[in-house]
Amino acid sequence: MSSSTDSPTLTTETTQLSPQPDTETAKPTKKITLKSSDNQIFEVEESVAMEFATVKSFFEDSPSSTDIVPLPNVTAKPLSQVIEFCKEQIKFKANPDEAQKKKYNAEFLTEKSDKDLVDMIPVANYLEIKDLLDVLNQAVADRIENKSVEYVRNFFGIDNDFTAEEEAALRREHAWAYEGVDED
Amino acid sequence: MEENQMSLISGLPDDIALSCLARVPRKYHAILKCVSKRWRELVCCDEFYDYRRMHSLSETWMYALCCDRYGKIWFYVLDPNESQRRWKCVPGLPARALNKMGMGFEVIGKKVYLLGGGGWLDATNEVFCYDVSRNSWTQVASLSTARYDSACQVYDGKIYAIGGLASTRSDPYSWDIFDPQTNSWELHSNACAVPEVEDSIVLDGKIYIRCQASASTMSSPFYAVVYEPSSGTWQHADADMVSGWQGPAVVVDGTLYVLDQSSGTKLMMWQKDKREWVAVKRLSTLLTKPPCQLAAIGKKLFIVGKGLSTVVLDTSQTGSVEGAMVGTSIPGLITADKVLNCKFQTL
Repeated sequence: MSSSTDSPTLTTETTQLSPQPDTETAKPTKKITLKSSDNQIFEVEESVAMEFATVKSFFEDSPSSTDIVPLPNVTAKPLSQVIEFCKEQIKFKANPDEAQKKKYNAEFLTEKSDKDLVDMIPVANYLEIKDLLDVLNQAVADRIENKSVEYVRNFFGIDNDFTAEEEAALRREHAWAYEGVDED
Repeated sequence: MEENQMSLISGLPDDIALSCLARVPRKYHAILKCVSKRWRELVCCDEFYDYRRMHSLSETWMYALCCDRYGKIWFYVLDPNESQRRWKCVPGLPARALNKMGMGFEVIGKKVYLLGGGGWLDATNEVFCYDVSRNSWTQVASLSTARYDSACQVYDGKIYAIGGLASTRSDPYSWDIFDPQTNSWELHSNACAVPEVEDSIVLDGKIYIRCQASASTMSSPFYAVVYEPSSGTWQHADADMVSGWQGPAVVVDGTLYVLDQSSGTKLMMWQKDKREWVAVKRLSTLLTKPPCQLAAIGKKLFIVGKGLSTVVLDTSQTGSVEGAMVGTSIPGLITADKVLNCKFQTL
């Protein structure tokens, strides 16, 4: 589980901090350095980094480590988006507001391109951020519903491995399922 | 799933791809199946439906068996959550099931079964199975004996086919239990079992079977027996309950409803605690188009009439004043005629 509530010290800290955001800058918060596979360096607050179960267990295994955490499977762009999302979720964790959270999540997803969404899924999976993974899976499922077969193939970059006859047969078989499908 | 195959979605582990695709609503599954061979396998595999069930993503559709005026059997499906709800014909019924009346009709998991059927002289023991995800029909293990108009019900993942008179049959007081895991039927018999069946329901873990009261010794024209699958025992049903069971019946959320079609259509509810029948709602026959069959999804009761013309009532609104049920209707079809049976399936 990726929830930071596993770590009592951290939870207290974030709860104290968030009602007065100004103290955040006043008090030196520990930063964690992450390195993406394309060698970009990200400095994130410890509370955010601890949302990533993978990073968290890295520090649990070597508590005194001050090293840069290498993320060999993660490129910079989706990583920056994932960090952006998790930063906001920390705020909601301290100050629960379901309506605001829903609104933020919806806006966050709407402004992402199809590719951004699909690229973030392996990152969320590798970093083991379960909440984000659920949100992304649902967002992708929403984007492909009511779309044509070609659209779905393009969306994920999937090669059609059916023969023309096989595909024609499948389409005939499910003719009634195609009514009202959005072709774009 | 084999590992050496290409991944479902490139760059994603298959379990993540599954948790994404399982969120796509059921009506688009046919499209997912056409994307690639691996996607087709995914949408046909049990894991896909296990995931949907465990994450409360399952959706319930209704299946109906009808016959037209030439006696030909038709198979229909309805997605009750669609904005433009309408019944659609599912083509491809096996030729040998096309003209058989009295077939048992049951659903287990993603499979629909058609059992036996025919008439007094040509009853059969054949069983056909429709795999909804694969959209294909296969013949599965046959009943131990020919049955038509049997009491056909599912209890605890097994199909019970009870009675169903057929001239060629050896023991009229018998029933068959089908285990889909082993694809086999087990024959049972007991002198209390009934050969001639009118209707059946499952209520409180028991199978209630309404019988044709052919015996002249019967004081009441209505007669029913109860079979308890867990103990294998037979009993007579509560006479008060049976007295009101005068039409198609359905159990909604543990409560028995019957559609009385003797004069107009009237929905009756059995009050278990008071052992009394109460009229819940009177419905216009212009709306219900009798003869009707009943089915239920959750707390919603479906009254399916001629041509699959359907009235949906929300039973969570009942219990108070007559007529308080909120009803909507789904248009019928010209092709379908008489509705034989309706079953729902959650996938």
